[in-house]
Amino acid sequence: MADGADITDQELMQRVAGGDELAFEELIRRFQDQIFGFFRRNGAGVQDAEDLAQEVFIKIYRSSGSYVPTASFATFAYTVARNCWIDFIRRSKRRGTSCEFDETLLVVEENCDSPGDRMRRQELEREVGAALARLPEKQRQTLILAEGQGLKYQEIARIMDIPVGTVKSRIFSAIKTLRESLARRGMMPPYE
Amino acid sequence: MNCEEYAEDLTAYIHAGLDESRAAEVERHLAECPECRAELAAQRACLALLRQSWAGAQSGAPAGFAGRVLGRLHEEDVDGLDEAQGVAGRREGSASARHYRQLQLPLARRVGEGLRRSPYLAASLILHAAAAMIIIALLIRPEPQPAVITTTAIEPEGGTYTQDIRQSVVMSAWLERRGRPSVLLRAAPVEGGVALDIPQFVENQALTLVDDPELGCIKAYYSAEAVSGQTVQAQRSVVTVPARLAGLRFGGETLLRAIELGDRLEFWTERGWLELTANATGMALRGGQGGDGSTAYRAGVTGAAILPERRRGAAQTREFSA
Repeated sequence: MADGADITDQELMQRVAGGDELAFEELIRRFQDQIFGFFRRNGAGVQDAEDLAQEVFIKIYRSSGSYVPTASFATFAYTVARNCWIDFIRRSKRRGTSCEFDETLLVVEENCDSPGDRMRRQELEREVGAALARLPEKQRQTLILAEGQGLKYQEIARIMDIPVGTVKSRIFSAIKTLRESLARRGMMPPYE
Repeated sequence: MNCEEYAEDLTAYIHAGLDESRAAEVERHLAECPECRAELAAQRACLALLRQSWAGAQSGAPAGFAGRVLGRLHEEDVDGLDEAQGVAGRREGSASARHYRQLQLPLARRVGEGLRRSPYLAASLILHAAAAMIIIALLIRPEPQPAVITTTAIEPEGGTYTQDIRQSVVMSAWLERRGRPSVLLRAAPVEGGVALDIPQFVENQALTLVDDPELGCIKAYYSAEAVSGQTVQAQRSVVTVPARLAGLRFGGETLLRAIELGDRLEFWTERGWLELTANATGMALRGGQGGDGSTAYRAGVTGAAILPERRRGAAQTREFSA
């Protein structure tokens, strides 16, 4: 849409509720990378991340009629995304299929790295991915929302429906565990 | 407060998660406590490793994502879900619905569907594929040297160049489905060069090469308009050619892998595969969907740049059976 940049997310949602498809497309474009990235950082493979991100936007579209802007649209979108992720994990467990963290996150995009650089990068991704995979689910999601998605603690608290203090302690615990794990792998100094 | 009590606040301090007074208090403590400064540095280093590990993974939505969401939405509209949810308007029969549905189809099926619904659309799709292949072939082949495109593509200073493809390339493209071939366009030599004999439904083709030294790649933009009656559909293909033949984006499909096998190139996308065979005088494409090698269509392209005199007019068609 020509004037898309001037319209707030909430205004776009109002237009979506009225059946404005261009507004919906604009909303997707604004948030597609964030939502897709959220699932990838949570450990989803590329295809699963795309399917889940599609599901998020379909749900946002379906709920546009009842959407009340009590918080930022991003908070709303991440709340939907988090619920989709939880459902996905449950479905995977019911089916008995693996929903374990994709440690290789990690169809690494080809670029112009030297083979040595690429190997080092892949090793880093593997080691950190494995350490992240061992975090408790709630800690991992809180850390990803803060560090990967750049959300404020207050926003995370709304999304996860927990007090801000809990966000703070979860992130601290996540980093502590991550440091211990990376130290054991020789990627950080020993943690005392 | 002792240092242990500050530890949790240090994490929040990094994320700007403290109120002003508490942040100021933490800063005062940091100024006089080397242990907490070391702890802060260690936490930052850990988070930096985490960010680095994410940096290499694909975390941006794949190309065409919005179209596929809208396509899925319209598919559900057709099933009546839209009405049940109370969202305004049914759009199943609209042109945009058809368009978006088409976007989410696998590449090979799109070509087939396009041909069935509109030969013009199919022509346009094949034209894009043809142009993209020719562009790739021209950019990667050391010999022969295409007169115009190569000159601009290797321009060391970088910049943007636009070249009318009709002055640069001879090609013909064909599509065969269920044994009924359709020639989509032909090349013909003309005075002073070679031009494409383009059917009436394709207009305004242009090729733009953008040399991006920062990324170490050349981006080739091909655009064409397919005209059907009074309707004009403008489409654009973008081919990104990094220094190492990988990570390409090809006509809206994200290429996961590009493999060079002698005179053959294989491109693997998430939805299917394409194989390009190029030699000095021609090139051909075959492709399919899924990872099992099943081929849904046959398509071929013959192309040659404006070559030295001995090459001119020597284009040959090579066909590959599915």
